[in-house]
Amino acid sequence: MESKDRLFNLMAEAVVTGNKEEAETLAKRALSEKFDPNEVIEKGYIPGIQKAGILWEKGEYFLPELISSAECMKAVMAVLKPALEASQAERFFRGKVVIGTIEGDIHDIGKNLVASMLSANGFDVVDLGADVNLERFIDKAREMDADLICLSALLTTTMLNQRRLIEMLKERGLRQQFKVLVGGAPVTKRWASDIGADGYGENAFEAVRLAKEIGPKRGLA
Amino acid sequence: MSHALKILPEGRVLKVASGKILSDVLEDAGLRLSLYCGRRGLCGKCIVEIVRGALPSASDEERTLLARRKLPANYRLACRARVEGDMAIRIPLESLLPHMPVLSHGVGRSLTLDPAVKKISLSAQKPDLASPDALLDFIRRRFPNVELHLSLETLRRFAQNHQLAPAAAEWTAVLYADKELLAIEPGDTTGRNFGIAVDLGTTTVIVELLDLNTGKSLDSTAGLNTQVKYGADVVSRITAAYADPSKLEDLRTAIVGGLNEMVGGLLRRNQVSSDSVYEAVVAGNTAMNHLLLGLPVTTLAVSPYQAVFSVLPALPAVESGLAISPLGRVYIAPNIKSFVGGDISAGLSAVDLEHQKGNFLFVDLGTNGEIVLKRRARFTATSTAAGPAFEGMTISCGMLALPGAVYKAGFKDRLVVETIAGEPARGVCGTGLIDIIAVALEKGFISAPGHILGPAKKIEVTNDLSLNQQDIREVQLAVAAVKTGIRILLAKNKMAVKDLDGIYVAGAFGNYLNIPHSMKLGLLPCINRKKIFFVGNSSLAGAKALLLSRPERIRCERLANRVRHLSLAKDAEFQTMFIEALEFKAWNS
Repeated sequence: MESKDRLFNLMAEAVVTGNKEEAETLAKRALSEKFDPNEVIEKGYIPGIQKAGILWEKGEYFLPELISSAECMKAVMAVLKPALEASQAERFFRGKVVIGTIEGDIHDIGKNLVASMLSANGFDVVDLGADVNLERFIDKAREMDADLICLSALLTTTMLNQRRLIEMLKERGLRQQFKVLVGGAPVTKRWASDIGADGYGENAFEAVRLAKEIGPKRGLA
Repeated sequence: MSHALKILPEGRVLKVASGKILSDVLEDAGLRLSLYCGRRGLCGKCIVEIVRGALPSASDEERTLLARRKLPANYRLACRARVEGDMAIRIPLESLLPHMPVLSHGVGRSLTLDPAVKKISLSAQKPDLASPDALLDFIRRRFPNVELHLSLETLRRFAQNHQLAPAAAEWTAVLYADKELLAIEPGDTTGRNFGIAVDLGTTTVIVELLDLNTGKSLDSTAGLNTQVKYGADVVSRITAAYADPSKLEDLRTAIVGGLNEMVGGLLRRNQVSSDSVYEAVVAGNTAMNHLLLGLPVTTLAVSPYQAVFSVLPALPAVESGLAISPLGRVYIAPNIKSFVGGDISAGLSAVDLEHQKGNFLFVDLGTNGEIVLKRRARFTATSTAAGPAFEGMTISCGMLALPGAVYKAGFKDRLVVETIAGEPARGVCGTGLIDIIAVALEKGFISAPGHILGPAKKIEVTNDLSLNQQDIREVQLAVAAVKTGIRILLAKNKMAVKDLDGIYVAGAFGNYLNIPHSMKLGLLPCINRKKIFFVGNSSLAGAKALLLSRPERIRCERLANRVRHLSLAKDAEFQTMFIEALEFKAWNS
């Protein structure tokens, strides 16, 4: 048991320091020792990405550190995926997300970061990219029966399309089916409530926190 | 009797008549002193150090003022001091106007004076009673091979003037681009032909009056862009007009009104009638150009971000609303692309980039960093969202480069700073930020990834000012945006830093940007510092070049059409390179 905890600590450490090779090696070791992949993610790696988040909020970490941590998570997920799919146990899963930069806007670094943080924290994320047609958001969300639609806008002009999307959902009677989160440099909490969004994340970590809070409408899958 | 006045550090020696006021002498010599109080000896901003020679006498008031500033006994106010003997003076940087237009060396090049507006004097012949010519005929005969264009208003005014002075023998034809007859003025007015050059910045506007007969600049004035109340930056102004189309006219009226006030003031001050000004050339970014002309910015506002125009012929001044001659023209420096506007095409003209042999970068540092790479005959431009950190916005103690701004810093046992105009430090401007962070990096107060080390979690600038972690992050983002823009431009052109023959740095930083420091942060690549040229306000210098030379205008339009545009946001490598660039690091590849 103790060695398991020690392994989990090492996993967290590898993610915090952005040591991708180490994170992968540890994931392989966990598999060879037949640990439950869900537990490995939840107790080993997720605490790592959460710690990276704390360091970010304290100002010690910046985008490069954060992205290396997210990259670690991505690599680990790839290693664990077959085992996760084969696992009979209840899957560690937080919800389905459709994310993209809104129509008219081509800026996507912030959106990419939110997308990788959501995946790193156990969400199923479909990233539609930048300058995404409003219809496409709705089509994709319906197709995959998403829990959350996340809309990024980096310009005060394109921000207006966030409102349009919410109006479109209302017009089609779909508003209750999805939670809508908005974000991006010009977006504020005030704007989010003005347009009737379900939430606004100031940064990637707040977005994750929020997504967890209002997230899955159906609990663990 | 005259005296020799040596100006340090440049070393120029002037011959000065005895008893002249020092500030008048220096202004005549082209030095722009800070004369805030209008030479009344009240503000104490025009201090000079008398290094050697005849120390001018000082009044009690002057002494008190100098003592209050804790200046040594050999300092004087240039607006009070009289030249009473040979002397050598040193002008402290803070006594010169900060960030005033610097005529870039590009314009001092062999630019032949050849303005679009030309005045030609004509003599009317006595009408032959038997078969009188029409009044206009003597003019048509003067230009037999030209198909003259003219407006009805031109003809009306000519006829009205003729009624007032039917016997006048002397007339002056005002021709535009050798074919368009703008006006026919009574008498010989060839000696009075003026033009206006405008640098239409998002924040500041500079208007300069030029004599088109000599090419000389007569006077200039600077002011805030009067659209500021609709938003400080380009995007917020575009948004104002986009969200509410009725605002478009408000924005237009605001800037036209502001410009007219400045133009009016200049003309009055120089006793020039607006009727002798037949052309204004405006260099501004694409959005400012659109808003000046009252063109909708809807397509500029959202992807694919299309401008309404790039190259435009000169427009009738009367339609633009600019208060020059209603028969005159307004020429807008060509936009290269939506985010690389006429200010940049004008800047390229100012430094004559097209004719420089070799490979050059032209970098204009502002909220939007515009970068143009010239690889032999091939030009590529891009714009990068540096954000307003360099203008002091988004920085906790940031401010524009105005008096009281820390604009320079170094280390001598501790951080030593200098402020603009020597005033008590009120905040930190862009060049100050760069210096402070470079010093902090060097001394290990900040790590290369940008983390403030040590328990204080801040960088003390003065007793009252400090930079916090978030401030450093903002600068990292701004530096990385510029660095990534340069790197991708170079990579797309299969070039390395070593292939560059020079870098032109334009924009508000002017000559105050510390080159080694900006290289240490990674803002500029490491190259021989002799290859870095500060060109100051190249937008204004370019507007002047385009006003003074129509051939240059044609070259500029051709170049604007030729420049390829590279969209960084669409570049697959942008994100990876941007993230990598966030670390403070000198680079040359």
